[in-house]
Amino acid sequence: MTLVAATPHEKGVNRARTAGDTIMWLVCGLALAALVLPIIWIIGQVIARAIPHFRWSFLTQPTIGNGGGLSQAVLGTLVLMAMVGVIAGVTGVGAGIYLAEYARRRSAILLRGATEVLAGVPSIIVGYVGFTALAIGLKWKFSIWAAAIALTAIVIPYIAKTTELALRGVPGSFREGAEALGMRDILILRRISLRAASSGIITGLIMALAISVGETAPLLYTAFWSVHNPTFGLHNSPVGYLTYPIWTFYNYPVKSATYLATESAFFLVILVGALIIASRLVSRRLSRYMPLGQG
Amino acid sequence: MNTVQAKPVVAEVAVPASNPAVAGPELEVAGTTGALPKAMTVTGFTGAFSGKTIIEDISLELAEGSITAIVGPSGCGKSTFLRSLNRMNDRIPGWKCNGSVRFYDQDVYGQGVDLLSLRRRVGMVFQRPNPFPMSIEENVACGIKAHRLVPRSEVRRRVQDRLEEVGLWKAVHDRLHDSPFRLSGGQQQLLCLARSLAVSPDVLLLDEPTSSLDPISTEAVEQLLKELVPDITIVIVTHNLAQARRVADRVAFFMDGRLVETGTVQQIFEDPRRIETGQYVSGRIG
Repeated sequence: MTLVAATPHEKGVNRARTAGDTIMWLVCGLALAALVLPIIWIIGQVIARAIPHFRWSFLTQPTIGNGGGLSQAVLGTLVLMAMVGVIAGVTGVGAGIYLAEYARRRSAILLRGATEVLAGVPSIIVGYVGFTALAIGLKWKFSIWAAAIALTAIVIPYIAKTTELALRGVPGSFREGAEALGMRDILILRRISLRAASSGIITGLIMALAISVGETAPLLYTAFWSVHNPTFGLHNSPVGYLTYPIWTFYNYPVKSATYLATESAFFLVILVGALIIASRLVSRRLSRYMPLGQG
Repeated sequence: MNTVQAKPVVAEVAVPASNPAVAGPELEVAGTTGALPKAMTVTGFTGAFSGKTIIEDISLELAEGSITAIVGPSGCGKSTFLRSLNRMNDRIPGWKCNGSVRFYDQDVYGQGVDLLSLRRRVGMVFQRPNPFPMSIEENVACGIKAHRLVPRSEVRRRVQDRLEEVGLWKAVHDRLHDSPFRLSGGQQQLLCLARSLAVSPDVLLLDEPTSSLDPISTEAVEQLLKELVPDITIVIVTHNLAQARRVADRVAFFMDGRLVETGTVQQIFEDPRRIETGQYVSGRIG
């Protein structure tokens, strides 16, 4: 058997291809490294600073002055996350469904534009508006509800967008098949479209919660800070949360305060990590009936 | 199950010129005899997308319990016509139509037509298998549940019956809760047929149902279609002339958006009246 020898022209073409491939691999590798290395470094720093001073009492004791534990802040963050999950989940998913399924051209442009503007507003502005409108205007003062609403305003555009995209990504053949069976629109939405999009919607929702637990600025204006466990009072119910100690205590010239900051960061990293893992697991579970490579 | 013993005797219906409902173009008969009830009657039907006419002045009758194959070159309007029969084009932006489509004595495009009920009775199976993202069992059950056709306790039985009818039960009885996308392409299409049959349609429209299937799966689908008549009236769009020959009672030949000719399989393939039909079935145009 004889091999076909490459002509000089083909050899030149092959060299150019190999060079092109190598350059693309290098660019992609550098981009990946630029993304991953800082994350690894940040998480490593957080863990390295938190682990040596970790005590279980951080989870069981509330903050006392500049020391103590973080139990009320952990609880506050979890409660706020749950409230945002419900309020932003219902409104954001509802807005996304409306945009994907029902909005006519004009209302879609209006609503999409509004969510994009809202997404672009800095979170500190959202906090300030929440402060002037809810804490001052409605005389709620610092309140867990004001905080939940401010966080909701921040993550709604994200949830609406992911919901809309997930629904738009549902293959038209599903809807067509359901229409051909004579299923009514609401049933098609509930039993087919939402089911097919559920993996994307839930992933978006969980990622939005991860974003919300990492916010500080809007909470400074609306939740302020508390060393007590959260209450659900509408008026004057300030609440503790994990990002406050990081923002406030890190530069205190007291070790106990610095420890509160580093442990808060540690707990936040764990919480966000848990949310990401949860989103992956839920996504895998919900897409078990989807065609291979989808969902 | 099959109550009609003899294969249909084919005869063209003499259309009274005075009948205003069928005035104009000659009413083509794609059914059995003029005496048999017509499951669907199309008269002077024209359809356009965004002002571009796709099908023009189609008149055709589909006799109850028959299989009609619609053949013709790509882009001749076969699928558009098929989708007009159960108003699947309605949702496509820019779709406009006029003329009449009757399902038994009901005007399909008339005021007050219940689209959901129409589509239950005039079902459709598509070119590519499109199971829903739910379990195999739920796929067949969802139409039954949506129309509340049987009590909840009997849904399972109905699912099994339909899966047995399409010959899929043996292959899936022990994995009814699996994803339908784990099935082969042919099995997925049979599942889609079971899903359509589960809501007890009177007419089944099939848009190239075997074009993405292997020969063995194609044979299974064709065999099933033959078993479904005369309980169900079937209209099948196909590019495969051999398939039209194998399964159909009547063939309708479309070209450039018009119905050129309809007739029995034998007449269309062996003694076409129109030159274009002869050229198409002999492979000289395609």
